[in-house]
Amino acid sequence: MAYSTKVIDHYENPRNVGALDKNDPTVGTGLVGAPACGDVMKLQIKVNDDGVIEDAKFKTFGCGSAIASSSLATELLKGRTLDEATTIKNSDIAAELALPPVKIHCSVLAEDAIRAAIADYQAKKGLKASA
Amino acid sequence: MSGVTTCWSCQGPLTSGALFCDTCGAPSAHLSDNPFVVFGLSQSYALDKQALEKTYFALSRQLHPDRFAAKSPKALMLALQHTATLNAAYATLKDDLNRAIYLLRAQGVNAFDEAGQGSTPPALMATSFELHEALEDATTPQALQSMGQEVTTRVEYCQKRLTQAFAAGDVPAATLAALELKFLQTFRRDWQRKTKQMKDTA
Amino acid sequence: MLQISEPGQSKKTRPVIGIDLGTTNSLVAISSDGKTVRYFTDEQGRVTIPSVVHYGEVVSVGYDVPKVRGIDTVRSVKRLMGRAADDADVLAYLTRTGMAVDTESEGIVRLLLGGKWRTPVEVSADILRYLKTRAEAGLGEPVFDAVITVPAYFNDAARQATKDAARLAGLNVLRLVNEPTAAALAYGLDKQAEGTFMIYDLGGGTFDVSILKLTDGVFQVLATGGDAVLGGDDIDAAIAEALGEEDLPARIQAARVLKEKLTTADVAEVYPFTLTRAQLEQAAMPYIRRTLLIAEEVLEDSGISADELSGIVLVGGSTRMPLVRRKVAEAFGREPLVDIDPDKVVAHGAALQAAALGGQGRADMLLLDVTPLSLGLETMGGLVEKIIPRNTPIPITRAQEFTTFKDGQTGMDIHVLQGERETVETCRSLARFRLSGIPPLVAGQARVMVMFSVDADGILTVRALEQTTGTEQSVQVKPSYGLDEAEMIEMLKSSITNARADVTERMVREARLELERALEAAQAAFNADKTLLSLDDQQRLLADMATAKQALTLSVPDEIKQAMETLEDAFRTFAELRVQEALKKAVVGKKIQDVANG
Repeated sequence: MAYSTKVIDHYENPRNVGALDKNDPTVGTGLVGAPACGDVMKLQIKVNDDGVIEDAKFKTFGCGSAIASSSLATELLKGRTLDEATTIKNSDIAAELALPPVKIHCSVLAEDAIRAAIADYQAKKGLKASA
Repeated sequence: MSGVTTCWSCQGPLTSGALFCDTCGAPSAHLSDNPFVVFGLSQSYALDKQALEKTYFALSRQLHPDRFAAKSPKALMLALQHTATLNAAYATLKDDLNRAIYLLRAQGVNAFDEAGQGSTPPALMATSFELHEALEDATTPQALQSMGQEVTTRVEYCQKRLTQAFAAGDVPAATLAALELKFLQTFRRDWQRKTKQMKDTA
Repeated sequence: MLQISEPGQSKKTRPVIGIDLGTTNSLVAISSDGKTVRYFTDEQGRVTIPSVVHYGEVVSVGYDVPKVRGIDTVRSVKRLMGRAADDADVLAYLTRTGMAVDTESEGIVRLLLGGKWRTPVEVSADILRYLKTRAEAGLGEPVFDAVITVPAYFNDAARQATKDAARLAGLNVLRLVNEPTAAALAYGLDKQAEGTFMIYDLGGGTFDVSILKLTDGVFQVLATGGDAVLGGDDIDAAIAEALGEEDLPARIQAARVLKEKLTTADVAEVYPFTLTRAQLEQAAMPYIRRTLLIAEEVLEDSGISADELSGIVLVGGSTRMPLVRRKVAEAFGREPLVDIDPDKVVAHGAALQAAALGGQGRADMLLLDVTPLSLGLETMGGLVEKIIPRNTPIPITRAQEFTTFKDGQTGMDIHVLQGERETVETCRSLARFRLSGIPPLVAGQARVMVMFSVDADGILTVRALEQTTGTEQSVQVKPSYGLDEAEMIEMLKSSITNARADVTERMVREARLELERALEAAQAAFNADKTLLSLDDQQRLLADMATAKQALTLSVPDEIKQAMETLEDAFRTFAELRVQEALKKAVVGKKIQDVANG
């Protein structure tokens, strides 16, 4: 798929919008905000026993770029392990492509949300283990 | 030794900070990008908006490029730059939140920077998120109206806290109030959009 | 023949004309005192010149156009300014007028007129040239400088096109002024009014509505809006539809006349058509309704309520329709003001602004305008990030930082757009350029600052700067379907005002202005501190100034520049003395500690 159609698609038809059960012990929830724009993003992951993210859902209120970023992020998360998820980056080779600019906080917001969701999950697990 | 620089036009002495050269009248080569300095105000949150507008008009009269339309292109270009600076300064000072954020940044607060994500209190984000979800679920004009009123009350309260915090020199409190106002502002925009949509499709 | 301005026409005496370049009619006027306005006329004493051009053996404009309607006559060319050939409104125009367009052309509209392909810019230039000639005939001297009005809602491309047309006509545009603002100026100064006003401007082709606050001679636009393709022409087309099915251009011609007759009558006839006032109003109502909707939105944008308005001013020939007056009064709860002739009020304001810019007008008068449409750039493929929102006071510069999407990305595509929506398809593309040389970093690390600058004419320049290496790229936004510089030069070569004259005239003028500035600065410095010099040195400097003054009569830019530099060199030592003296004064009487602390 061409670069731009893919992203605009995420804005017009965002994937994985919704919520998981916050109280489910296998679900990690991250709620982050970007004061620069006033965006708020909630990202949730469901992790199975093998440590693989089997589902991810998000809800973002804010600018179009933030919505598109979170949609993309949740796509990339599914099927990855927690370790892979913490280092998630857009690592395709860029070659000599000139691409449109990206809003700085949008590019960081999704990562922060992922990190927060993972931390939440691990905290839950940690508490459970020591209980 | 400070206070005296050189005018680009007559090469004579120019008091630093002066808008125009006393001798030849050429616009100064530099205009501060600190909006308070541009308007000759002390760097504080409290502000007389009417006096601000008067100053804005007075400065515009002196600096506007139309004053320099028939003059040297160099002077015209400076006038254009300075007026752009003046307009940006006015926009910063006139809006309460912009002014607050400017002052906070000057104090080293980076919560409002593009990459400054980590500093928003979780409680604030949770409240903001809930408000947005409630907006999504609202289906009647009445529900929207009461939501709008609730937010207006919150905004007023926040503005009061902000004014008090600055008056007391309490930077953390001012930061919290400004953060809340910022998120409320974004909410308000979405609320206006939905209210308009509902009105148009009615 | 080269037309270079004479040095005697210093900034104090060079006349500046005001031009209303309208869709249907154009006017040119001047004010020598910033109060009274003189309109220039054609040879028969007529002030309103139809914006019609005929390309026959000679190019004729206005009333000179042969009465026979033909394919070589073009009207309402303003509707095409700044538009691409595949624009829906351009296609509508072509259908209504039956004109032939160059289908081979890439983006630029070219009409077949008098056996040649001509662009809307060239046609507009012919109108401007005619107006310039009329002004010169009236004044008895050459004219170079002008203020030209444009619809407030004209986008960047259309503004550029207007400036290009002026250049081709041999006119130096001191300022583009928005039509509602010009109207407000005429009203404000004429009527000594203060308060907040709505200017409702419905012309032949465009609709503008602005909310302006007048305080102490400052005209401040609070909000503006409109529709660049909504006007009397559309109402004519709607009437024409009601009249029949054949010969559309003939029906439109009849519609126009019928509409005008129905301003005062209840029934009108133009063989073989008859129309009643009621039928007219039915045809026109959807358009009027749209204008009222836009006006309400603009009022909202301004933060002013209808009750807070001090008055509503009607501008433009189309506001003569009783329907318009009635509906505006109904919608906003007050009778609109119509004292000044709605056809003349914009030119009136343009002349007043021209006087102000030329140094003749009121010293305290000021126009503070805004940009009518949001300006932004494409982000992340397909989305638009607004950098300058609509109704931002201009001139203005705003900057925002962006970053890269992929690891190792070394190029960034800057796509500049204008409009209110969120996606690229729903906004108007203004320009594109590429910033290369971004250091290859991990995605999201690079920092590219993008700066949008809008000048007083409402024209945009965009700069992109990569922060770590300082790599920079900038573009003065020139739309891809406008004229590029090479084409401009070509056209200038073939028009009466030729290319060399245009460029030289500009350079000579600028060099003279700089020399004048340097002379004034030297004189002021001399008057202030000549006592620092010996009498001999004073004499020497006076002689240097006299020599430099003579250079004002030269017509080679480099020679004028040289004279200025020679003068500045001559004054350097004196200037240093003055600075030393000022430093001394700043220090004398102060304690050592105070000086050390700065």
